[in-house]
Order: sequence, then C-alpha cells, then structure tokens
Amino acid sequence: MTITTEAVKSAATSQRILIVDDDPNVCEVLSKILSLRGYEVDSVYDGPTALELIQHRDYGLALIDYRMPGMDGVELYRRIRELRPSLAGVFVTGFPTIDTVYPAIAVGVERVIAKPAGSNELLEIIQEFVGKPA
Amino acid sequence: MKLAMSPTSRTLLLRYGSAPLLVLAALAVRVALDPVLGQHAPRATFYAAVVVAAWYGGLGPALTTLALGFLAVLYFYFWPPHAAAATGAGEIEGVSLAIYLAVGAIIAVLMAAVQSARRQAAQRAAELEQVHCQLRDRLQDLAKAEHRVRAVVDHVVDGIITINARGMIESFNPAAEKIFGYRAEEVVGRNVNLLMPEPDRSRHDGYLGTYLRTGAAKIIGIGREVTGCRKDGAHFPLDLAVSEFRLGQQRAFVGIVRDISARKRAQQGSKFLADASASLAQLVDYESTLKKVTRLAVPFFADWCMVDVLEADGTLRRVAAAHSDGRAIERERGWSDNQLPASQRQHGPAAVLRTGCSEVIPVVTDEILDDLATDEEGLSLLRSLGLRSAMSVPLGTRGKLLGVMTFASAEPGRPYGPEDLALAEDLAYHVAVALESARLYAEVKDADRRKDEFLAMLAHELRNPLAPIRGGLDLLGMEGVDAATVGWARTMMQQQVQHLVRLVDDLLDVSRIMRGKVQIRKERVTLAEVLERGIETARPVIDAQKHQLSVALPKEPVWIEADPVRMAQVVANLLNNAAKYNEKPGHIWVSAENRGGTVTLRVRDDGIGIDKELLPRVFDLFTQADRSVARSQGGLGIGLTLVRSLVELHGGSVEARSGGLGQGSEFLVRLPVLAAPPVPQPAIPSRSATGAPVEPRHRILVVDDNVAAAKILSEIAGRWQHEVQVAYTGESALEMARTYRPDVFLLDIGLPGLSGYEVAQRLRLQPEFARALLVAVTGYGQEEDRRRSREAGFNHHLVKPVSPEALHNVLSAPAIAG
Repeated sequence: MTITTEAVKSAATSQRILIVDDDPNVCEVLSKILSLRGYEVDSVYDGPTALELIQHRDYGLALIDYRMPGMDGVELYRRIRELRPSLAGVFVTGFPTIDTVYPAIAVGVERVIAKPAGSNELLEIIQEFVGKPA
Repeated sequence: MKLAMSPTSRTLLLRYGSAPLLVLAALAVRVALDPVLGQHAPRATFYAAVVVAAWYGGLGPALTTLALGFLAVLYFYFWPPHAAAATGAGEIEGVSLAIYLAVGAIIAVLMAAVQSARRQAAQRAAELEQVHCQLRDRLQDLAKAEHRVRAVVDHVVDGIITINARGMIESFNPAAEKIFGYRAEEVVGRNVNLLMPEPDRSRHDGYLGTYLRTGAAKIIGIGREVTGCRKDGAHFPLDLAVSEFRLGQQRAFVGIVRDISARKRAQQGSKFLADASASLAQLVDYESTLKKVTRLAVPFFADWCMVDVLEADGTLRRVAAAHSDGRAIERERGWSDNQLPASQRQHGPAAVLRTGCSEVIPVVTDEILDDLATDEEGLSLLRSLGLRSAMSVPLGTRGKLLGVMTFASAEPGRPYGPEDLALAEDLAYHVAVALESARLYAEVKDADRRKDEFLAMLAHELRNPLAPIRGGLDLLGMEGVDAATVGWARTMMQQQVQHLVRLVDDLLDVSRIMRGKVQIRKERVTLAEVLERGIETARPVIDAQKHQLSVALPKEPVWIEADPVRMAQVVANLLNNAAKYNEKPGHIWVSAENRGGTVTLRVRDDGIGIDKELLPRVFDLFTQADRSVARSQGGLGIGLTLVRSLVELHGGSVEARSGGLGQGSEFLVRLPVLAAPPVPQPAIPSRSATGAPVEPRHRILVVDDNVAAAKILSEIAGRWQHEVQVAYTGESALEMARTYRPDVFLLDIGLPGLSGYEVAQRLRLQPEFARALLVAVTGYGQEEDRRRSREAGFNHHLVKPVSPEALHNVLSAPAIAG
C-alpha cells in the first residue's frame, strides 16, 4: 500500500470521517465498521446537518450518498468546498451512470463508488486519503 | 306546217278577231236604236266598240275596230241604197266621218295608253308585293336571329361587356352584372376602368389610347388572367378576352370575362390541403405542426385561423393561431372565452364543441359578435377585426372529439359557403388524425420514459437495502465485534431482507395482475371486515408517521362479494399512500356510503396532494410523484396500480381527487353491494374492542409451495391472533416442525418432493404431533381424495379456495380446543 503525498497531507490535518446518508442503517453500519478499524466517525442523515457539522469539526474525508431528499450529494459537496476547500469527498451511489458521475466529478469529488460498497474497498480508499488510523 | 297555234297567235287572233264582232255588236245596237236616234249619231255605238277593243285588245284591235266601224257606218248610213234618208248633206257627212276617225283614233290611242299604264302598274304592284314579302321574311329571320343572340348574351355564364373607343361601357350583360355586382344601367356610359383595381384603373385610359394610336396590344386579341374589382370593392381573379370590332366608322371592343375565383380557390385549396397534409405527416410536437397549418391557411383561406384543443377538464385550449395581420395577435384573446362553459354560447368553437357539428357563419352579425366576445373589451377587439364570415369545424376522429378549428375572414364579398366548409372539414380530418397520432406517440413516449424511470428507480430501491446488508455482513466478519453489535447487525439485515422481499413481492404481484394471472376468490364479506384488515396492515406506517385515523361507516353492515385478502390489500395500499404522502403528522379519514346498490369507500388525507398534471395518470403503472418523498418510505410506486387492478377485478372502479399540491388527496373506491341480505354467516371472530384475541391461540405451520397461497392462509390465520409460520416444501416443514412445534398443520397435498400425504404420515409417527391438528388443503375434493387424506392421518380436508369461515370452523373445532 503506497501512501500518496495528498493522503499524507490530509492525514496531517485530520483522520475524522463524516458519513452523510439518508439511510440510517447505512450510516450505522459504516460507523460501526470504521470505528472498529479505529477511525473517528460522525454520521448525519442530511446535507444541512452535515454543513453545520463541518464548521465545528475538522474532517479528513466525507463519504456522501449521492441521492438524498432535499439537498443532494452534489449540491452538498459544492457547498462543503466553499466552506472547507481541502475536505476530500467520496461519493456513494446506487446507480453509477454518466449522469451521476459527471456532476460529481464536476464539483471536485475524488472518487465515486457504487453501492453496495464492500468494506475492504471502502477502507482502502479511506486509507488513501486519511491514512491508517493512529 | 303546224296546225296548232302558239298562245301568242291565239291571243293575237282573239284580240283582233274581236274587232269585227265588236263592230257587228255596235252596228246591231245602233240599228236597234234607230227608232230612237234615226239619222242622228250614226257612229255613237262604234266609239263604244273602239273603247272596248282598246281596253281589252290594245291599240291594234282598237284601230281595226275603228276602221271596220267606219266601213260599216259608211256602208249602212252613207251608202246610197241605205242612205235614203240622207238627203244631200254629203260634205257634212264627210266631215263627221273624218271626225269619227280622228276621235276614234284618239280614243283608241288614249285607251291603249291607259290600258298599258294600268297593266304596267299592276305588274309593278305585283313586283312590289313580292319584294315586300321577301322583306317581311327577312325581318322575321333577323328578329329570330337577334332573339337568339340576345338569349345567348343574356344567359351565357361569361360576362360580355362592350366599350367604345373612349373606354365607355356600351353594354353589360346579366352575367357581367352578376360577376361585378353592378346593374347594367349603373355602368353603361361610364368608364370601364371602374371594374378594375388600382393600378390598372389609372392606367387603362392611357393603355387604350396607345392601342388606338399604335396598335400595340396588351390584352386585345390575346386574353389573360387579370384582377377585377366588384362593386363592393372586393378583388377577384378573372379570365379576360378582348376583341376589337367596328360599328360603321367607330372602333369598339368586346370583352368576355369569366370569374375564376372558385377555380383558383379550388386550386389553392388542393395545394393548401397537400401542404397541410405534408406538414401534419411530420410527427413532431403537434403544437408546432398546428401552428404551421394555421399559417398555411392564412391569408388564402382565412384571415384568422385558430385551433383549440379539448383539455381533460372539458375546456378548450388555444394551441395555434395565425393572422393575416400580425398586429392582431394580441386581439386573438377577444375571440371566444375558452373558460366559459360551452352551454353558454350559441356560436363559435365552444358551441361546436357542444354540438359536435360544423358551423358556418356566412355573415357575422353584431349579435354573433356579442355571443363570441368574452367581455366589453373583447367585443370591441372583435369589432375592430372587421370579421365578415366565419366557420368552426370539429376536430374528431373515431367518434372522439379532440378540439375545434376556426376560420374567419375579413374579406368583403366572400362569405364562407358549402365548398369552403368541405375544404375545412377535409383539413380538420387531417388535423384530427395528426393530433390523435401525436397524442398516441406522446403517450407511447411517455410510457417508455416512465418505464425507464421505473427501472432506474427499481434498481435503486432494490439496491438500497443491499448496502447495509453488505456492510452488516462485513461487520459480522470483523474481529473484535461485540455481541450487541452482532445482534444489531443481524436484526438490521433481517429487516432489510424483509424489505427486499416485500419489494419483490409487490413487483411480482403487479406483474401477475397485469398479466391477468391473479385469481380473485370472492366471498360474502362485510365492508367493515375488509376495512379492519386493511387498517391493521397499514397501522404500523400510520402510527410511525403519527397520523390520526378517523373511520366512519354506515350503521347497517354493507355486504360485498370480494376476496377479503385482496380487498384488504386495496385498503392497506390506499392508507399506506395517505400516510406516506404526508410529511407532517396529519389526518386520514376513511368513510363509506351505501347508495343505489353501490358502496363508495373514501380514503381522504390532508397530505401533500396530487399535482393537476399527475392526477389523470395517478393509477398508471410506473407513475409516482416526487420519488424522494416516497423513498423515505420505500416502495415502487405500484401501489395504486394494484389498487385499480384489484378493484376492477371486483367489478368496481376507482377515482382520485385532489385540489392540487398541498391540498390533500381523496381516493374513492366504488364496489357493487350485494342486493339481497346474505345467507346467515357463521360469526367470524375478530378482535374485540380491547384488542384481545377471542379464540385460543394456536401455533400454526402453513405448508404450501405456492407462495401466495401460503401467504393468504398465514395472513388469515394471523388475523385471528394465531402464531403462524410458513414452509414451502415438505422437507422444510418437517425440519421447522422440530423447533417450532406447531399444534396445527395446514398442509398442501401437491407439494414438490414429499407430498402432503407423506408429510402427514411422518408427522403422525412422531409422538409430539400424534394429537396435532392436520388439515389437508387441496384442490381436489372427491370422496376418493378425502378417503386418502383420512388414511394419511389428516383430521380435516379443505378444498381450495379455503374460505375464512371453513378455516375458522376447523381451528375452533372442539377436537383440539380442549
């Protein structure tokens, strides 16, 4: 496993991970998995709560569900970048097509992964951005 | 020598032969007069003979008679033997004889001259008579010919106009009167240029002068199509042929004119229809097509052309309008108010919509304008348009009215007539077919789009539960997971799997219903019973959203013939919807009304309501409002499709109502009510007011490879508060029985692998199930089947479809109750 300079830089700032998904079960199960691996995790069910949270806490990565009622993932990440330009974003979508991937890349998302994501795949990506848990 | 004489010789003989006879006659008369005359006037009678001879014979016979008479006189009166009486007067006698000869000769000459003149006169008169007759015949012929010409000129369809060299009209036939609208006496003596529009009117005199001077002809002797101007100012196309003729020294011209407006219009009409059909054949969005067609109609066919399309709510919507005067666009709204009920209008599109018949208004009167106008402002706008004639034709195809097409003309002197109507109806037919095609095309496209959306949504909905399941599995496989987390993960995954199963069941359900694969097992049930079941199913969703549910039913029980499970599904789906589409804790009202053999069940809510656009399609497959709202509750948006299909399978109908977004929704289900009071029914136990079960609870195992059948039985039994589990094969039933230890088995006979008989036999071999209640559930009800099931160890034999009563009777039988 190689650690990129970007990841090192991110790791230097924070290893805390923010999960945004309107499905409470997804939030819960991911939180549990990442916690077990030693990461600090916060999970919220909607965009506005996420925006509020990032103003108070420093995150190294945001795992964002693409489709959410109200504010969708793309809009949320666009606003996150305004507030925290360095916060990396990874999108999770149930339907990865050109229509969903393109807008995500356009707002600067680092990765788009398909649901249901395996935890190994997810952990690899997380390590890439925030490094191994301290 | 010929003995026969010629007529001339005979006449000559007659004329001259009469001379001696006349002399003898004169002598005889003279002798007879002797006693009276004596020696006096011895020649008197001979003069008479000369006169007669001259009159009838002419000069020759007269002279002959004179000579013979002289001899006779001489002989009888002066010959001495006879002239005894004549005493010595010889000289006198000689003189008198000479006088006689002279007088006789004069008489003869005069008489002959008179006679000759008379004859000539007679001959002349005869000749004149002959000429007169000839003239009279000629005049009669002329009169006839003139009459014929006049008849032709008067009755010919072509206008015939003669002018003199100064261009003044000299004659104007009735056809010309008809064509130009002038009476002959109005134009005769006036310059022919009044029949022409500018600039020909001003140029005509100069043109005529040039021709007379130089002979340079533009029309004369050539003939061509020109434009005429009627008395009312209307311009029209006409064929004109002019030829020159001379009246004495005067040069004059005759023009033959033929009104070719109808021909031109027919030609233009054909071209217009062809162009319009070509436009309509292009299957693009129909509104732009209709706009193009209206533009084609203007100005040739109409000065205004409008298309109004019938909307779902019964109003007309103007989708296309074209004007010969671009500035009139904003005036268009003055023409007929589409919002008004059609019944309030006698004319125009709304009236045509009501009657379904075309309307031609040859002359637009003030009363008609009043009828068409929306208000005072609209009326003044309409007046300013100067409408003269109008026509509205229905757009219909296959007996279906789609809208109305209206044409209006401001052109003077061209009222719409039967030919125009025929063309308009022809066009309307093409438009209607195109409209219908476009509508069908749009429908297909829309259905295709909704199907794609549905598939995308389906993929999402099916995949969503997979994310936490996969996460849960990963979690379970991780080191250091505590027991609480394992428990949580297992419960979570079970719920997600159940959700997935529910989605797939729904999908299968709608697919089977759509393919007509669902059997409805009707029985007599009360509406209250069906409602209770439905409410029970939907209760968790309603409660979770903290909605308040009110139910109002008629006091008298309403009996219907329905599949209680399916009808409960209908109620549950409607309640689920009402709960789902209400973001805040709200109200749900359920009521029923029994009237005229139909019960109307209403499920009303104060939720987000249904958009006007969506309302007509709300029961269609793959239709779902804002998916993000529905998603919070899951579901595939097929609930209402199921509702409609199930209700229709029961001979009922459904209807959705909503005042729009934010106005709440109301769903109506109409079902036929059983007319006669039903036969006494076994009391079907239900939950008491306290919600406690009224019967002893059983642990029931339902075994059926048909998932739906198993589900139905387990739902019915579950409703009575029994504990129920389901197995789908004989083997799994035996397996489950070991841990679950049911006291009642509902066993399908025709199971794959182990049959129901075999399962029963094996169960009876186990001591714990020796006293269990075994119920055979089978499609076969012959005595032979019943015997076999008895032999296999079954207590009861129920024939599918199993009615709730039958099941209830079995479950409450004293054999196991104790």
